[in-house]
Amino acid sequence: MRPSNGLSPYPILASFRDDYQDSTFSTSVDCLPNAQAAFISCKFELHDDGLRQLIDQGGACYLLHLECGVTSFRKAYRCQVPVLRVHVPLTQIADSIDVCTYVVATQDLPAYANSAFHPDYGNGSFAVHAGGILAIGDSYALQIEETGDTDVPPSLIRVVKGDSDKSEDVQVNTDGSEYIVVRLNPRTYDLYLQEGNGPLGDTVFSLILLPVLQTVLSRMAADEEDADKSWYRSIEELIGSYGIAVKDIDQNDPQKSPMAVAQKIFEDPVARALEAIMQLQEAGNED
Amino acid sequence: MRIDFMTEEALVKLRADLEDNLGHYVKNDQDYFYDVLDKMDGLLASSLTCPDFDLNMSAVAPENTDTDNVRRLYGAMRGLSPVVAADERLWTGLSHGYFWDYVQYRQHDAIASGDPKRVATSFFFTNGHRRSLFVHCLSRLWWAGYLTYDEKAKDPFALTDVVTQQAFASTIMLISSSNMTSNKDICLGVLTSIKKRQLMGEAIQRKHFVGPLRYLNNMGALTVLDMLSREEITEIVDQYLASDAFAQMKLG
Repeated sequence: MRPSNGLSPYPILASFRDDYQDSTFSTSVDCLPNAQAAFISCKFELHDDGLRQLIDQGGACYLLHLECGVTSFRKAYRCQVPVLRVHVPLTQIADSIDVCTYVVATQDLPAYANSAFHPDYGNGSFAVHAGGILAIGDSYALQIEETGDTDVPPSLIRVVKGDSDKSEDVQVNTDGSEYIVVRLNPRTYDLYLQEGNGPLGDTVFSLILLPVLQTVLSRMAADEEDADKSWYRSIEELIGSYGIAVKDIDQNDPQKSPMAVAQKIFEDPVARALEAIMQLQEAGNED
Repeated sequence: MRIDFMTEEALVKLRADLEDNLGHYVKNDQDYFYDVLDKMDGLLASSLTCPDFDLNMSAVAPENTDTDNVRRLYGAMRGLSPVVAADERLWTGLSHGYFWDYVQYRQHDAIASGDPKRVATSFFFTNGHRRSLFVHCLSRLWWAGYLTYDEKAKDPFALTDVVTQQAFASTIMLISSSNMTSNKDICLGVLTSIKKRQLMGEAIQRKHFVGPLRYLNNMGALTVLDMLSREEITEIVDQYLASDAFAQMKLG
């Protein structure tokens, strides 16, 4: 439940709206997990006399809204004081929790008025129903550490060995929701393992993972079909940190072709690979 | 019944080898997968157990078993935590193992087609994580039960039936696509209202789900629906379903 900056029939206090003058509402949230639960503490900082009075009188409350889409966990915690601590068992949440903070009406308010309203509202008063949002605070996405028993570190790209030497050298599978699978034919896989940890590691990397990422970026640019998958969102965020959107990827643009973007993400692997080969050759010549 | 998980390594491998293994899925060759999984220790015995149960595979039209099978599967596996039930390794393990026959039965047309995408969707998670839980033929049985089970009711699956009896596969997708239904009071509040219309003799259609969810979603722009009780949600949906706006609503 992410708050949006849409039209509303009454003033709402929020940093991205100008319905109020000189009033502010902000929040800070911390999450401290242990082995059993995530301990979430929230501090509400409300600077508006009218809303504070309403809370003190019981007509409104502070609200912490937690939601985990993967596990269908959704809960609202309310309080009348500006500090709230809750704990959520780790059996209930996975991946990440969306956190939203509000001040909401606890009962119908037939004529809500506040001296801090923007002058455009004049002396108007407004009907607000129970549950109505009066102020919107900050929102967060808290990552939940995986506590599963897998010994495979979470990775966006997983490389596996194919069964037949007759299969193509490199196959890229983007069907999964969490990660991309790269299948190498047995001989290529063995070489990948053998050489990947040695002095030609960068070269091996360039030969295999660079074209894989190029392929994936091309697929992302061509079709949004996979947009709801976890690996898609991770790559989208990653290229976003370089100021590139998926829709910008263009085969014909030297700066934003799949090759160029992949090189940027892997920090120029081709150059590093060539340097490694050169160093190896020089070391061989000295012998 | 002990609940086995597929290992991460086995899951990655089987997913990668899907096209090569297509014939084995289509020919209902479970022994092949037992062999593959055995060689790589691909099934992990967990400490989780549940009462023994079987799934109903008696109907000529497999979708006619969904109502009974949500009751059977969720009834037996209700003790799983949501985190465990959201784990692809669990459902892929059961799909290739204990419930292989059920997957072959329920997804018969998809598997027989030999289309790699349709076969993959039958056995693996192939959409975003949340969506996959409600698409996979086994996991959706559990998650449909999780969202709709009413502990306080004499028949805790009475409202589940409202979902499973109406084109279950698409109805559960519709309900799960609206995040508000993760709140049990909201979900059961909506289903209670729809059930009331059903008991009054009204034929329940897709719009009975679309309309109220859309209406509540609009309300949610200004109201934190989680502040409302289940009864309040039911009352809101009752009024909406009795309104001209709903009567005139057309889908498509």
